[in-house]
Amino acid sequence: MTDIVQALWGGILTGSIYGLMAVGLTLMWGAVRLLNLAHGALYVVGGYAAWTFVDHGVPLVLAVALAVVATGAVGYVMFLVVIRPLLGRAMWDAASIIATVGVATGIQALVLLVYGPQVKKIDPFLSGVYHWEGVAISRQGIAVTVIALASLLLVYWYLGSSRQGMAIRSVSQNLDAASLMGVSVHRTYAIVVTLGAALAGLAGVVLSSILFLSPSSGFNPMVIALVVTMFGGLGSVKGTIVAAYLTGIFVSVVQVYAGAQYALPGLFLLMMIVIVIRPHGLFGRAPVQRL
Amino acid sequence: MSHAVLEVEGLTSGYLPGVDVILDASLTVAEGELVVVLGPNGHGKSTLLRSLSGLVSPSAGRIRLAGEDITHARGDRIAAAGMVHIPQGDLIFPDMSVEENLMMGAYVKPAWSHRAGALARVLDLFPTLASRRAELAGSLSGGERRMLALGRGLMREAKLLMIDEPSLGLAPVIIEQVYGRIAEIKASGQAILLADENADHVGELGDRVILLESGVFVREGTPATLLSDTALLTAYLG
Repeated sequence: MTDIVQALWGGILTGSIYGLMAVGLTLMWGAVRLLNLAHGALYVVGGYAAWTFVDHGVPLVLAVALAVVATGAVGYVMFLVVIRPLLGRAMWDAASIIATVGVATGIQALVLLVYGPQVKKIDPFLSGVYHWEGVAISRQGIAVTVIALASLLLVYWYLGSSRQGMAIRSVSQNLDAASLMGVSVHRTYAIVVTLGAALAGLAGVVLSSILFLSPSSGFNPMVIALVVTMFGGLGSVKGTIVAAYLTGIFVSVVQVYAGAQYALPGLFLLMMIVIVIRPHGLFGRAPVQRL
Repeated sequence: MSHAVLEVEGLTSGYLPGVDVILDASLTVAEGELVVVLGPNGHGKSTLLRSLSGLVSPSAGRIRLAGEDITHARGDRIAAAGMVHIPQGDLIFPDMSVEENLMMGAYVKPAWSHRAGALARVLDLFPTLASRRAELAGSLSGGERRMLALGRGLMREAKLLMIDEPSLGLAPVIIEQVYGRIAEIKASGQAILLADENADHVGELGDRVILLESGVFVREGTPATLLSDTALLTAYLG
């Protein structure tokens, strides 16, 4: 009983982080048809930006906010310099993937040069642990979950109800029709990449207060987030959020009952089974044809 | 003639370099005027409208909307400048509700703040849409999608309203309704450019008719003179 509650809690905590990563990925795919393999690097940017601000004496809450903004800015620059020149060109699929791998490699190398290979850690916002029937729940974990969940709900509301959010959905469903409605497609792309980057940055900030931060520590969260976006049905935000929590709980349960070394292999086995049974994800439908 | 809403001079346009679908086309639409481009399927009507709304980039010529040069402007800029293009085919947002699709018709800034009133008017005009407003647009039938596209185009004020094949895929009784609506819109003083392959309705509706054949404007005149020439109509429209 204690084990399963502990595992569920761990799953909800990590699921929130996967959600932050995966929603950005799925938005970029849905609206821009961009498979962003620099997402892990953006996570790292967020973590190191927050660490740097804190190191320079910026209050923690402000440092977190600044780090998220900074990561969004890096995403925007990535869009302007690397993504936008490829839009509408031949071989977009391959070119954009290679370009984002290039960005990821560059960011990792830069972080390694500036900060060195030693791991860093951001101080928790809150200290202390609640104990209940042998289950340990850290106050920091609760804070991280609340921040992540609130951000996810905010994004969900933004996409569902705001004018700009509707524009993002319209671009992901029919480019020509969106253009006829007066939606600037490139501007929408820029917003999506910036927002996705900011969410990855937030994931990097909050997870770096629990796990260690290194130049390559974004890789595993990105890989898991990619799996999550496939479970959720690429492009579906609601499906992605639900899939993030299911994935978090699955990984956490495997870790508790089988051992941490089985978590990733188990997840990939699950992914293979899901893809065979439901090729468009747990919540996805057959893809919309795009011109 | 009053001030021209649309002025097109020597427009040449197509999808592939060197393969022009529209050749050296010139036309004007005056304020409050309804101009019909009549021609068989596949002769360039849709390409003409798509070139005017920025979905296809012209290779030569000049386009002015209310005096403003929009020849090489992006689609969203042209829309913001007051062009409303009700396209042919399935240019709806399938994963949005009917109501959200209509709301997108009022996306342009000044219209957005009046969207509630516009929505009420459009739902009034198309009761079918009203009864399905919460459903996903992707679940609509072909005729309902057509009505959705029409309704969406009426969600904001337009300097020029372009309608591509208003009756395509609609049941006869609904076709009558749609042309009735277009007549009402015209009566309100709206400038309209209508592309049609069917001469049945444009006689009483159009101020001027242009015949399009293989991407070239071959004849232009009042409906009375053009449409009374049965030999001509048979030759061009079959």
